Amino acid sequence: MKTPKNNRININVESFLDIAGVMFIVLDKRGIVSLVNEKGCEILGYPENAIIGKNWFDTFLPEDLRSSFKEVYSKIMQGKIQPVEFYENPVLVKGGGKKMIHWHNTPLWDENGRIIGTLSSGEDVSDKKRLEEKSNHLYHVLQAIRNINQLITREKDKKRLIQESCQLLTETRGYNFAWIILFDGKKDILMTGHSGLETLDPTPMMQQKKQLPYCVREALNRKKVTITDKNHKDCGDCPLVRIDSECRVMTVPIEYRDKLYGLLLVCVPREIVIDQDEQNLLEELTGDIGFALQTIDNEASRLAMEEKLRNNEQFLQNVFDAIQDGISVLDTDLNIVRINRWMEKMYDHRAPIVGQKCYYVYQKRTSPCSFCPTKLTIQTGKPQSEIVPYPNEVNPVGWIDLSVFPIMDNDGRVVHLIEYVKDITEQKRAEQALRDSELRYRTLFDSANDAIFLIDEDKYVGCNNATVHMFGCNEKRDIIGRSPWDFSPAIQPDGMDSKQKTKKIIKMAQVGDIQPFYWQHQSVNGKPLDTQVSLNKLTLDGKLYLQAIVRDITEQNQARLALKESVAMYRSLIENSNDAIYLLYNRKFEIINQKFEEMMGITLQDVQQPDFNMMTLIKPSDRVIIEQREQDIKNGKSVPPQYQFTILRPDGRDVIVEASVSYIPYKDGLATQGILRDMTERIRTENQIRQSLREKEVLLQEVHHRVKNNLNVITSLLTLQAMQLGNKEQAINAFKKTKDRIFAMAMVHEKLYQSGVYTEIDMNDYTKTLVKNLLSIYNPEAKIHYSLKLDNFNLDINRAIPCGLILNELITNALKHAFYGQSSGKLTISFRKHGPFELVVKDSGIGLQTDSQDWNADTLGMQLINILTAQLDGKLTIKIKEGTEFKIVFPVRKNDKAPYR
Amino acid sequence: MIKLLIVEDEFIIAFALKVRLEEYGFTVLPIAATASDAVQLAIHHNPDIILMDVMLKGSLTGVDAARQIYELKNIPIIFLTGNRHYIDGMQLKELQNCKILSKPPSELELIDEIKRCVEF
Repeated sequence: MKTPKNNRININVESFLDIAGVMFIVLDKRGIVSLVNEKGCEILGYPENAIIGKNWFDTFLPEDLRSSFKEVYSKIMQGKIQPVEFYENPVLVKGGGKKMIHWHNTPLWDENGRIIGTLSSGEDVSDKKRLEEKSNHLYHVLQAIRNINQLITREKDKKRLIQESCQLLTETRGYNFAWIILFDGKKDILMTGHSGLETLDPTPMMQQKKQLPYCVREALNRKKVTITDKNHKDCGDCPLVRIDSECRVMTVPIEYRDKLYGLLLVCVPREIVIDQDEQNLLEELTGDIGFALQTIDNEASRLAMEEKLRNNEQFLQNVFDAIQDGISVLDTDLNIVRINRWMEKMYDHRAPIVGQKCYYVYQKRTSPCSFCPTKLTIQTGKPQSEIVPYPNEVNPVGWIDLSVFPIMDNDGRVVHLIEYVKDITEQKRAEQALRDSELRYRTLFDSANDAIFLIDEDKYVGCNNATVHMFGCNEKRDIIGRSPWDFSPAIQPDGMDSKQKTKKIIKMAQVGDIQPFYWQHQSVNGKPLDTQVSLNKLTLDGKLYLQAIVRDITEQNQARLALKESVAMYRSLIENSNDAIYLLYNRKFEIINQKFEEMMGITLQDVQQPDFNMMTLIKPSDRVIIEQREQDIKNGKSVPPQYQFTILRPDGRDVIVEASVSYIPYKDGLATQGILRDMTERIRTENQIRQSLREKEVLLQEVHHRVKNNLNVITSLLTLQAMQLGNKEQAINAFKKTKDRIFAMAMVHEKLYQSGVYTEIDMNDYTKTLVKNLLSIYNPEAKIHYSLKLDNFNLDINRAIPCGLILNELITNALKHAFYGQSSGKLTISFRKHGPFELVVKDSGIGLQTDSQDWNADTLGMQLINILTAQLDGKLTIKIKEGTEFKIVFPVRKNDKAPYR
Repeated sequence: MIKLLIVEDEFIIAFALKVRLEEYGFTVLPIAATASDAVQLAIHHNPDIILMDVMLKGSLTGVDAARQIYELKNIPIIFLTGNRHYIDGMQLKELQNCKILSKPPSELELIDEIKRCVEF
């Protein structure tokens, strides 16, 4: 130990300092160590020379204390404040460690009383401090354990238990951080709880890394308390290390009765020594937590078991009630002890049911039934079954299947019975219906008109009566066992071999559905049969068959053929009809025949053009007829089925048609089917006939008029003639003349009807005939020669008769009187038309004798000639020279007399 | 002397009628064959009575002639017709002073009718 210069302390003091049990240290005014005793070197861990001369504050004080201690020390050196006599502070010792020193400080003064430094004695109180802190820490731990034990007694939730335990371990400041991990049976994390270090929750990190922290792994491996120091290389980036670099971790398994529930992990403050006592405390604590967890588990298991039992009971009750048959539980005295819902509903009118005798409730009896199977089960201990009618055996409305099962005790005695009641009424009815159905099917099968047979592979294994009949067999066994091709021609109409085709069809039918098809069968006597076959799969007793329904369509085919021919015939009739035929729908022609095209002058293609308007076919003046009919039909009025209108052809020619129409349902409405007959020629002919008839009527009237008129004329002639009668000869002569005159008139009518015209006669022909007739009467010996000069012309009857009478008078008189006394003579008759008509009768006779009686102007003959000439508007001239010439000229009429009406 | 006008286009009939009536003492005017002749002769000779055929030569009938005559003179007319249907009811109503006889009439019937008409 060195003594500073000018220091008043002597060597004895130094010796004393070296043997002192505390450390002494002298600092100069700057804080430089100027003295240190041996105890000081021991505490600090350095030799004296490594301490002397060093700045105490910079070298031996922890960094966080340096500036504040320097400032206080400086103020003390300056005398600004008094030195602090006692205090404690940590100092840095060799190796980086710290020791807590309890100081007693004394200032050092020079001769002038000025402070020049300090002398401090320091006692190492580190162990004492640690014991105090340990004691304090254990106190807190114990307090936490006590609180946790209280928690354990009341908390029944694991999560809250571990979370609150962690909080108690940290809130009491016993530990910086507490983390409890619970595992399941596979050591997968079940849940965690944590507290301390504010927001630190290692669980996410652990889940993210998919690895437990090192300390946890160690604890799990060792299955005992494990203490992990921060320096362990595997702590790595553990968040605990990141937050509290000084922390040490103690990990304690949470076990109870050898079952590992999880781990408790606590961060122990650095200054706390983890000793065995603390480990024991934590093991005791984790044991308590393990017990609590097991208690919670046991409680949960008990509750779960109770819940399960309740659920099972409810489930069994539900099952019991859900059974749609009746269940009764009876005791051996046939008392009902329990029933299900079905029975309750079935016998609710007998409620209460439980406690009553079964035979009373179910059969309304006062004693057990004679057939009671329950009694038999009681006796035999074996299940029994019976079909029981209800409500009684006499008039059953249904049946139940009653099954009885015994419930036995451990000694094999029947203690209860289960009556299981199933209403089989529907089943019985269904069985009956099935029997009826089978009977009906059998009847239907055998009475069907279609042949029905069953095929196994390619053999008939069953058939009905119609099959026997169709194939011309005597009985079914003629068919059973044979193949379809045995009743088919060798070759089908499509050219395929019947056998090969049969096999192919059967194969197809066995694997899928096939549509009905045509097949030509053949009866046993070789008669071909056209048939329609439907093949269906049929499974009987698990075996696949084919059922064939075969309809004989031979007649149907013939009918179809006949229909086809009939259709063709009608088509031909329509196409070859002389009438136009059409089908009109919505003013569009759907069908027209060839005659329609010819009549209308258009084609089917024309009328089926989208813009075709049927009204263009109709003459504009007649379109109103069609429109009116359409309107009437629309208004529900009846319209005549036949009507007439005129067609206007594209070439401009009119065709008058008579339409005969009817209305038939077609598509969504009514179509008009019509026949148009060309009436043009017929109407023209009718008009001609009508005209002809009118002419005939007029003519007939004319004839009647003429006949009557002629009779009047004759009457008048006879009247006039009679006035001249004197003697017999005159009378005879008068009759002859009258006869000639009537003949002349009659010949006009003869020529008239011979001409066929009926209104006019050929005067050339008439004149020749009249002349010949008169000559044959009055010139039988042909002494008189005659010549005729006749033009060809016709005259109407109104002028022909006067002309005929005039010719008759002139020729008769000439032949009778002109040639008197002559052996021969010549008579010239001319009837010409040169502008006016000119009628001349000239004879070569003796000339007109004015005294002649016959030719007297007053004679009737001459009067007639004059009268008739006047009637003809004519002029008579008589020339007497070398005979006599009578010439009558009369005009051609432009406006002849109008026909009589 | 009663003056008669015969209107008849069939001259033989007219002539025979004329001859017979003259024998009964009637004065028979020249025969008219057409309606226009009849009107002209009636105006000119003012006959006491007219014997009128219905169907006449030309386009006009005896009824037409009678209608024209009535417009000028009130002369009784006896229609002689082969068919009474030639004169319908309307025409008879219009031609009030007239009679109809079928042709040929009996002489006595005709004479009586002539006298009755003239006396009336």
